[in-house]
Amino acid sequence: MKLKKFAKELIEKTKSLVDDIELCIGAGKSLEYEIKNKKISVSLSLDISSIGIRVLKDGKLGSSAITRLDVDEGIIAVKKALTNTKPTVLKQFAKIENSPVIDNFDQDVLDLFDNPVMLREVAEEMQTRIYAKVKDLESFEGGIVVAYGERLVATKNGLSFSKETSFNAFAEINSIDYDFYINYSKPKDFEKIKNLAIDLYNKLPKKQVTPSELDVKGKELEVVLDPMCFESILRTLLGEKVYGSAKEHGLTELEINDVVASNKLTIIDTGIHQDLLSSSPTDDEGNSSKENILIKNGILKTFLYDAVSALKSNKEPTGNGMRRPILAEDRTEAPVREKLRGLYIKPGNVPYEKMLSDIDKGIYVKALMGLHGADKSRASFVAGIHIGKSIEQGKFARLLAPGAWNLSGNLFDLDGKKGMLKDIELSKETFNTGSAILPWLKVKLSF
Amino acid sequence: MEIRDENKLKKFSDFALNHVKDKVDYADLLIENISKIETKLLPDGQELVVPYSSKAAMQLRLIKDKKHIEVSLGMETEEKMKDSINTVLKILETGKPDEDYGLAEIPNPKKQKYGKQLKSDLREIDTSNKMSAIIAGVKELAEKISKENKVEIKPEVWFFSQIEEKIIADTQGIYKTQVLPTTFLQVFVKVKKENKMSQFRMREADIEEISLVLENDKLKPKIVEKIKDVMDKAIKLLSARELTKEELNNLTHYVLTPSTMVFVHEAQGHNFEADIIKEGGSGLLKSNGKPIVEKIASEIVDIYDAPLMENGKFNWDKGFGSQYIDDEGVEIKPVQLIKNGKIVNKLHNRETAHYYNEEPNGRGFSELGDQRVVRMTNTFITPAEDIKSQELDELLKDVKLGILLEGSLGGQVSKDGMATSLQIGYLIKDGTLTKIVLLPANMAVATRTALLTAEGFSGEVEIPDGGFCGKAGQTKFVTDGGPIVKIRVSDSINLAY
Repeated sequence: MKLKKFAKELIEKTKSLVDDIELCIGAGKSLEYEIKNKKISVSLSLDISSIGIRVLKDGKLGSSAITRLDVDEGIIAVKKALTNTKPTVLKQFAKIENSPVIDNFDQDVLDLFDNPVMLREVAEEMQTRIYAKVKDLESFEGGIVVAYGERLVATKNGLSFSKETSFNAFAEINSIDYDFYINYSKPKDFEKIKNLAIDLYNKLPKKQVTPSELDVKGKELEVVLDPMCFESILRTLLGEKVYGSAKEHGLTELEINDVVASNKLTIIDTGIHQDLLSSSPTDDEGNSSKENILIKNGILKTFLYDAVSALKSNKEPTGNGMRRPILAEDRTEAPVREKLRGLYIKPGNVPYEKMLSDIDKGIYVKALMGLHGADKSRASFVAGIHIGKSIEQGKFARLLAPGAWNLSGNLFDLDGKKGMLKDIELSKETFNTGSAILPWLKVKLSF
Repeated sequence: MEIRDENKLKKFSDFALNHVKDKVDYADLLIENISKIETKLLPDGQELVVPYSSKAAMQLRLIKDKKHIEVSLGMETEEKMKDSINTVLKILETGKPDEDYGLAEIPNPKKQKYGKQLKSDLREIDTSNKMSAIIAGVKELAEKISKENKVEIKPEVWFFSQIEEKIIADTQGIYKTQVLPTTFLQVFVKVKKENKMSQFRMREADIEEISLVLENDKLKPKIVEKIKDVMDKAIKLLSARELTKEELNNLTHYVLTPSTMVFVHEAQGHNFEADIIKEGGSGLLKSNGKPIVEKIASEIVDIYDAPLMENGKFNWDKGFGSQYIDDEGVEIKPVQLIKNGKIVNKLHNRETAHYYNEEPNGRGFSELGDQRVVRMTNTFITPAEDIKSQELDELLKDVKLGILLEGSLGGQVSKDGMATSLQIGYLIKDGTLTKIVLLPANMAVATRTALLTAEGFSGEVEIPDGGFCGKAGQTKFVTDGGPIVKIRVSDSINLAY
């Protein structure tokens, strides 16, 4: 309620100064029990707010940002924003109405803030179990984080408020592999959390392999991408090619109805999927979140728009206007840019186990290193493999030796090379990363 | 170097410490207050300005009966803060003692004021013209060079200038402040010609005011030259090629320029951070603090985390990663990490210094009220004592088939390795640097062995690019660099297209 009161009061007190105002506010708290070096430490974050302000005046746009829910400081920030405005095509900010309802809140998670002893005990148990099984671990990091957040977007024409909780547990062993649990609700059974590290350890191959040892150097190879890795590649390379602004400025070669992938692939950009933590009633501009079928059976169906690119392209906003920070930008200071929201990919019909067992010699990749340096203008990447395993005779065999493996690919056709999504297999099973629900992907890639 | 509204911030500090002093054995806090201006030119041509950003937060640490807790707090009202601290005290009670936990003493406790005297406080002046001049300057260059080369250049700009004020105080009477300006400019260029596209990036960053990049409200000639160079390289990349498989297989040397030295930060530097060492996450040192291997580089190699030397002294007034005190109030010392290829030191915050019973060296940093973790400042490779830098021709003369690499788009680290995307390469053949331009490549580096085959250096040590290091969900300004370094090809460095 505090956010709503602040927003309403600030809008009321500045309405004579501006033609329109937009507030994007985040506030919340978190409690973390972190396991490192056989110790459990606790940390908290309380009452941290971030307030991004945009104003419109005489066809120009201004911005400012503050961290205190203080109306007087808010008024100063609005006045400062008006000191340096720039021309914009925006005539007014969003009319916020009939936004979808997203239920990402669980009172039981919020109640855990009052039961820190229980959280600590779960973390202790995770630690006790892994060290009881493995005496000579090089390193083990893990922990539990509970968080509560409130989000508000308001303009002169409406307000959207939502609250969300999250329960996150994670485990990393010997700095070579990790696993996690994330959901907005409290786990029904804490056994899975307590066994997170042990289960991870049990799946870890004990030996390592280099490309020379596997005799794959310079060759094309069957690669299974873990959903985590698949999501990273899509977020790094896909967005830049499907944003409305990229289309408008000639930074993408793609056209609607282009065949960009195998007909097995359907990608949906969604801000409203009830199982994704990334869902919210509106984007950061107050436009209602939507479900956008981006690629259907391999064919590009739409570009994604924020308010500005929609106006310039004579389209409706697709709910993709987010304050998307790049590098060290602060979220509230970041400009509104188009951003892929949650991703949902329709699963395939190959069982995951069969996908693996069909491979005589290949690799499984969970995480890449240096993907952020990928060539977005060409939608191509070359990255070191951070976490991966060899697949030999249909089974996980050895860990991919650190620093020895690179992977490269191009998302779409490039310089005569076929796009990596053209020849694929998708697993029947999917995995929820919190921001995407994706199947496992089998592709052919080179080193 | 006075904090502008020091009394206002000090009131919060005094309130928090007074509220807890009888309830805990020890408490310390950090207040960070950042005022920033920012302007951007987006790929779609939109120009955005944030003429006002004001952020503040507190990090409070409480210790009682060997139990400890760290908390990030907003700074709204004293009443709110009191409620929050009471919640924290309750959670502290539920903890368990950690017998190994402790904090090293803060050296030079009496000294209070640190930082730079501001010449022109961005909070007091109208910066509109200055920010407009930056965008206009870049656009003008893009237009001119586009015409000259018959290509389409789309520049993206990110500029910010900020003043960070901080207070570090504790229940034992420590009270220290620092005022530090920082300015950063990035120009990211995308070039298009027919169906071909390429990109290149430049940065200029230092602990300076806006005058780092502007002179009389115009881009400084030095900056103009750097931007032209970036556009020129992006154009060259339109006709660049990959190394052929045969060339890759027969490569004898990598020649790395200062702007590619992110691998020194990632592959070497992180492994010297004592919190990572303590957790068993370092690829170079065991959790007991002893090196895993004796030698990790050839004898000609030294590595420092420090500012650059000027006239025989470390100049703390320069370097995007430099500060005078860390976020625990410890004066930052230059730290030699590697001497003649061997590990000699670690980077510490107060907690790890206590744990290893070593001197704190001022590497405990926080991002706006977050937990203080061990961080680097400016990390660079340098020729060991008595090793001379050569002329470039001399350095290259025995390179049968090599690649000279320039520019990095940042790196990512794992325990045993790192990877970075390098922006451009030039082929070296039979001792001569050719004009054959090579496309961006990914370099994967194995931490323990990559520098064992370093063979020589050329030019001065430079830390040309400012960067942002991510750790524990936080970002810190850093730099990395060195002179030009020649490294013989081994299995420890892999280049891929």
